[in-house]
Amino acid sequence: MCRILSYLGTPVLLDHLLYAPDSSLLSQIVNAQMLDMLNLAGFGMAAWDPASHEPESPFVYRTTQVGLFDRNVKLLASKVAAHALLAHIRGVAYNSTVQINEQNVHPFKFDGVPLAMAHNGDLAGFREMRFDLVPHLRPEFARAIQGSTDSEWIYALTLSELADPYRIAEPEELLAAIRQTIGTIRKLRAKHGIARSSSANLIFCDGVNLVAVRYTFDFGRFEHRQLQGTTEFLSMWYTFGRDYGLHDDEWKLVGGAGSGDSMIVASEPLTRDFSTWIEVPEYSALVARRDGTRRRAEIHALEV
Amino acid sequence: MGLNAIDVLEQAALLADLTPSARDELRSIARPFAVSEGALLFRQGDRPAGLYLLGEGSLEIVSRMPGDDTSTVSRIAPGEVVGEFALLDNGMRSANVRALADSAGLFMPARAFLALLGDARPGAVGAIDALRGLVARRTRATLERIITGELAEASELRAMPVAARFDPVDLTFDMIRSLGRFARLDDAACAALCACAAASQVKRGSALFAAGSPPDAALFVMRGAVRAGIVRAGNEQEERVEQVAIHGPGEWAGLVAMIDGGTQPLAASAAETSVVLRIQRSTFDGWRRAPDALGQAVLRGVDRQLVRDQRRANRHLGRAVALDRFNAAANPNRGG
Repeated sequence: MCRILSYLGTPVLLDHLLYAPDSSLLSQIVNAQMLDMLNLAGFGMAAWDPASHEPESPFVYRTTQVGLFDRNVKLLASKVAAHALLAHIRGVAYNSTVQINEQNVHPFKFDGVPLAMAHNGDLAGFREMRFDLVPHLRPEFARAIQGSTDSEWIYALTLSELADPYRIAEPEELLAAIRQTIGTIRKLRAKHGIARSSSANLIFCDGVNLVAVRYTFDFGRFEHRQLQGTTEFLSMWYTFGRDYGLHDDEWKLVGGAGSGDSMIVASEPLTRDFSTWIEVPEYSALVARRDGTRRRAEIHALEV
Repeated sequence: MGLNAIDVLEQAALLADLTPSARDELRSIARPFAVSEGALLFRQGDRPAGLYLLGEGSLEIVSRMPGDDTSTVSRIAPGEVVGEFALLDNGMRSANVRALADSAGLFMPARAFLALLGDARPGAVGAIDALRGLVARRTRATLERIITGELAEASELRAMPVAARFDPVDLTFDMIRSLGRFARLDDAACAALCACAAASQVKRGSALFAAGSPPDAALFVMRGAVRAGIVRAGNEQEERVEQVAIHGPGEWAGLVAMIDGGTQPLAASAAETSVVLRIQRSTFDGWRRAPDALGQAVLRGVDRQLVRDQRRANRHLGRAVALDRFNAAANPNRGG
């Protein structure tokens, strides 16, 4: 299990998202509110900085180090102000079979493709079904897969479903590709007799639009006894407003929903007090899209 | 303020059905509280300490929303209670409560109340069931606001479920104990549960009960996921479902109607192939009146579920309202 954070709005210093709040993404490495495990297997981010060279391309950073101890992340976060961010800390099972390398650190973003993706969850039985996914991949994306995670395959499958993955897709087109990908995985799970709860909470961001997916295959069909009755770690939350910062000793967006131009979406709220956060419903996608100079947000049912 | 414990307990409509001796039990653990006009009684996100019975004054329940907006949930008048979740669930306070005028009443500490309940004292058993009824009515009222509103976008609606086939499943002690709530049930209690409940498997997409149907049994999710939702007319007038909640393993579906005795406000269906347990209404109602050890274990889960259901209904409404405001601002030419 992992934790994801994304932001879309007026530029914000990354430090204010990654470090400052009392349950910031980096603090979730060791002290997540809704996940009872450590997220030690790497940190990655794609940040779109409007003041940078080629602002439509994100700055991408990945490390297998524990992000909390990475001084480069801290220094970068104190310099870069991004209008869009997709950041991820990786949590894996505590055993030696797991592959810890940079190729498995999220978010994934293939060369020349504007879309980046990060994943919270894992697909049970993925190794058994993996090669049946190959016919659904464009050859160039099959070749681009470098790591061993199910997440990178989900990303490659989704890109393969886009008519033109090398330009920024309209949210409807991206949603259709996501539905197609979920449908393909569902069919192959059935073919291989896989019926174990498998979370595919995904956030896609291209610097313009953002789609956050909360979807679990075979929700609630756990194998592990200790997981019965606990589904909080499968959640996805969002909040919106304007002028993100420290207001009245609290890191938050202010100004009311009616004047909002910015949105944060995350696996769990960035503050211990999450009274201004709302859950993305299960089996749904939250779409945040550009609407003139502002943004529009919608919930879409994922019926696959 | 000339309030005394007898006045406040007598005027609490919620406790009207309690016997004088049952009320005395509650009086023995209650203590007075007072809050000045404008002051916060408690804050959203606080750890709950207990229930407040208002004797005089006026309180306002205010919920926070994205963008640091607030929304007034309701006002509390003398004779009414606030902070009832504290006795049903150990989750955090779900709203801010502020005094609109100098206010006073009785505070019922959760810890002392739960000790009475653990001993099955009539005062606590009666009061907690009255609170169940209160929470169920409030949830139903919120759901009715959602149902009569038109805040859902067509994009949120889902396909209607199909008729269900219930395939019997042999209920084992291990299955029962695999759910945290029942992990400590002894063999006798597990046997009692097996005797009064029927387990069955239903396929993904199958209807479990319809909105408007009478509640004939309590439905407990053992495995899989149950969707609760509102039936709406879709774009081409075909019926579609607006999802309000997903109940995973260890959760109850359709409790509002089981508690308040009305019809089901929401329809329920299997979001995944699921194993559900049905407990007959007569057994369930018997636990509410006089809970044995099994009944107490079941009802603690029921109480938490009632709180969870209300939080979800409030969240669903809050989400729809907040998105509507956000999007109305994005497109000022749009009505609403």
